[in-house]
Amino acid sequence: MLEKESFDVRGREMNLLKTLNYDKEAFLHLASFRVLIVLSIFMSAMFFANILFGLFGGYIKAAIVLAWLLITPQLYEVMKAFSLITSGGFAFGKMNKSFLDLMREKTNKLSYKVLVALPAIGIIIWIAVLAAFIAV
Amino acid sequence: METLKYDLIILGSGLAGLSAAIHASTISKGKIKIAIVTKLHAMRSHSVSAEGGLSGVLYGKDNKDSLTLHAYDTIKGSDYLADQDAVEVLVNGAPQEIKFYEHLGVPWNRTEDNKISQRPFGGMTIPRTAFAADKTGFFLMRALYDTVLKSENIDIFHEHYATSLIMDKNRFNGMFTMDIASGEKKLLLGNAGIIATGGAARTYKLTTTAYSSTGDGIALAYRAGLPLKNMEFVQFHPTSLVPTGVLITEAARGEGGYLLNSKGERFMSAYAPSKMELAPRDIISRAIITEIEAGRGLVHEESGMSHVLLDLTHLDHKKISEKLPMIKEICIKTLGLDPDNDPIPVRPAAHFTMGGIHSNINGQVMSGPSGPAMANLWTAGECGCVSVHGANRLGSNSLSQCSVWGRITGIGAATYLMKKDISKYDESFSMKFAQGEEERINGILEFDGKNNPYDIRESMQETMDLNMGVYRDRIGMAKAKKELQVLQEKFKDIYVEDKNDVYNTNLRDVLEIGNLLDLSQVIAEGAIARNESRGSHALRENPKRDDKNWMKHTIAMNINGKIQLSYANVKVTKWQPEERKY
Amino acid sequence: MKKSILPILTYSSIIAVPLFLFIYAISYIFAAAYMYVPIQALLGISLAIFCISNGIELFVYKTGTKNVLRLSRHEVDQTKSTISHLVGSKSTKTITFNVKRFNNKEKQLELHKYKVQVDKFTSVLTALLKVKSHSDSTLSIRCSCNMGICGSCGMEVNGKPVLACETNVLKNVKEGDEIEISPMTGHPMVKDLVTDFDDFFSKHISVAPYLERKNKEEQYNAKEIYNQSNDDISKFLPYSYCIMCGLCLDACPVVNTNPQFAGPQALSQGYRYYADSRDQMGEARLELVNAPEMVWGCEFAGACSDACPKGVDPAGAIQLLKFEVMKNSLVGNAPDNK
Repeated sequence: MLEKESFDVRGREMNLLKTLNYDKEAFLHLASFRVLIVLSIFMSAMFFANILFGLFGGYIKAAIVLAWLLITPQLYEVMKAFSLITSGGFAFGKMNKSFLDLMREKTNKLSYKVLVALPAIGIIIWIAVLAAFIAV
Repeated sequence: METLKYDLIILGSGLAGLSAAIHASTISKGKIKIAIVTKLHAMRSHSVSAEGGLSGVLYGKDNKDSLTLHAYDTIKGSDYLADQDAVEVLVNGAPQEIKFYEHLGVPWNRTEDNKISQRPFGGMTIPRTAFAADKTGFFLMRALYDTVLKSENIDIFHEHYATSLIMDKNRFNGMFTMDIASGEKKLLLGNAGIIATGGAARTYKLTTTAYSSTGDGIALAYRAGLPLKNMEFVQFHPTSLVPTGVLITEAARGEGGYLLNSKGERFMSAYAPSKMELAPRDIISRAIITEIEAGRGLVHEESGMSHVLLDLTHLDHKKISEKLPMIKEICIKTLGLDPDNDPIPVRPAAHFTMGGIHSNINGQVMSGPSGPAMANLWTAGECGCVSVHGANRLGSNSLSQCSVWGRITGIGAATYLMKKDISKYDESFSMKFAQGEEERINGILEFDGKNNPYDIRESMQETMDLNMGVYRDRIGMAKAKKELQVLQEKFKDIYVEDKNDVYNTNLRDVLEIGNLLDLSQVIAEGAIARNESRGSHALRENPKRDDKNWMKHTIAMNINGKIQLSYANVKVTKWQPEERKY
Repeated sequence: MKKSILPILTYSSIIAVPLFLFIYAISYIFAAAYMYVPIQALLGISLAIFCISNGIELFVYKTGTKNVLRLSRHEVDQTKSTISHLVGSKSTKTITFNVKRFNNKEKQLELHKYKVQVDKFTSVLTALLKVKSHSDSTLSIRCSCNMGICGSCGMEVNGKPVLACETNVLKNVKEGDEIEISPMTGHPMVKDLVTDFDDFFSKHISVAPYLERKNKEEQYNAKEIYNQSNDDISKFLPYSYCIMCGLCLDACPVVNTNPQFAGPQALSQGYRYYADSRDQMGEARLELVNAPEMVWGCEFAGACSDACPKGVDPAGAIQLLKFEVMKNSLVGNAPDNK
């Protein structure tokens, strides 16, 4: 009897490279997130070693900057998700264009425009504070 | 070869097939085992492409509408070839179907006071077509497929191609199928069967239908010795997009679109002055072809196809986004034209098969031209011919027909199966037949002749387009018959390039081409014999309708490999034939 | 509440880490030295929680991923030409199709080159069917409606998941008049350009994707239509456009790295039925999706919504669903009129 056979190439982290072909933003977001997951335990250990035993003093600032940069894409996505949920799926949503045409009154409101601007404002503040931190 | 046993086998998973499964399962309270066999994935059947809507008299009192009026519109639209008792069953059952689908989750468009919206459609006196944007068929299929998933007693056989019905002494025993994904042959035995495989408009080259609309169920029934009815009536939908043939729904005209010729005139005023663009489809298709032949058509630069224009630019843009969003997307994606701003090029293309497997008012397949009806085989949907559409179908009546006869055959089959002492399938006969069928299919796999089967398909489609189109003439039809015979001979000497078991689409295509060739010959035969013009069969030499001699159904049967024609009477109840003017 | 502990930890650490980084930087800028140690400690704790909770979510819940096939490319270079049957066509161009076909016997992706003549309107599907009819009949493709509504012809064109019938050849041609076609590697592959959908269908079924009413008899007998306004319909309408083409799962980076994840299609349909005011399953629906491999597996990459040919926006649906699940597990029963 012939059985249906299929072959699965899913399951390896290397498959993340596939997203570079069609969505570079998604790749940056997921790759930096995964790198941060791996590094975060070392950073955590470093911070506690610094508090309890006074080690790694010179490297604390660098670690902060590194963590800051690695979490920026995720923070941006979180702010986008907040705007999306608050606006009922319209801000940063990619819904069907004809449907959006019909929902113009929802997207013309001031509250909607504020929600759309929020993540951009958030990131600007975020990067500005980083710059100030490095400068000091 | 695997053998699987069921109570009810449904071949085809479109609207008719899936609704039959749901009704059969509910009426039997989940006790009967149902198999749905489909050559695609179940939710991808061609029913998803239906755009316009489902007609039914929902708010008769408010709209000054009535069941009698719907029936009259349908019968007049059919050019008085429809069986009037069946039409009454259709119009009586349609409103319930709209409510039933709403309960399954279909998002019908609603009015401001939360009632279901209904829009004007071709040939309908009062607007009675309920719609869900312009993707009605898609939403109905999603609701039906999702509801089928609820039942534990329904097994879906995705991508299983049925090559033969197993008939013994006018009883249905089951079918022989091939699992396309693995190449495994499966014998399905059943005590009852419903054939719901859809139409055969892929016999034509320019068609609105899917690649999968190859009339397999109709051909299977034909080769099993069952009668086909009215195959020569093929509906040409007037507005298919040039050059791809994709359907632009009649609703575009229903919402107020105009048809313009090269001079910018609304030419329908000369052919159907009172209904204009909402006349029945055969009248509009003939009007378009007449305009093109008179030199008032336009020619599409890239493909050389002649066409007319469908103008939606004067409609409210918000209305198009609400009621016609899909055709707007299709025009933009295919042609780069936005219907809001530019008129779109359209021409008639083969669309619907009014004919099909000869069945009675209950959907039971007839074993001969005048019966008797088979006890355990039904047919529903486009592949069956009851006949409710006669010589021409009105738009939006097809979704009603599929739903109403899906319900009737599902309940009929379940009621039959719940009776005590019904005779079961003949297992030994079926096994023997299946072994022979397996050898035949493996034999086809070995073919190493000299002809390319795809070339044969293309020649057949071109011949049908040229000679069996909107207008037909005697010389052209005779030429078509001869060419089809030559192609049948060539088909005996083809090669099958793909010899593998796994997902062999080459073999499946070859089997489909065989079915199309058989059906195209039946269409040609019926058309040549019919010496009048009625509905969608327009004979140039005889443009008038001849009720005295030709108000009858054409029955075609396969007798010793030859097509034999006979005729059956049309059932007339209340409406006597009159002149068909719009 | 117990089921939601992991997502609560995950999401709160995702908020806590940037928050404490920000406070640390502000205190550093304003030289508030008394804040350094406490904030550094909080940062250390939140980073540890971040690592452990997200690590478990991403790397541990992949049990059951069996027999991952590692592909190496092995080229079978066959350049075959296809005669054009475009009658009356003015401008045709010859394009080389580099089709990576999955060879089920060798378990490899093999490169086959075909030259096809196309015009301004030829779609990828039409060109591939031309190859099948006149050049190489062994090429297996899944297709049906030719108008982007059946969802059969999903494949990757130049690495991007698209519906072949809607993709214009000349608009997607790369340098050297070449175009790359391959099957959707985000699904198990069967042969050539055909992928297996069994896994996909079973994920869909797992969210109970049908309208449930308490009174089943009334639902079948349908005497009066349910009262639903246009406003109610707009809450779920775009999510009901799903044609089950599978492009979103092919695009989703989570599905590609963890096949246990339910995927954007199933979860968006879960939300579609939850948001439909006629559905009466209520809280039970949220329970079905409240699991690490269900709604919490989504990382909001957003690639699914970009790939969706019908504008279903599964990414948006999933974030809305996450909010509903969280609200339900923290606050209690979902209110009747949602």
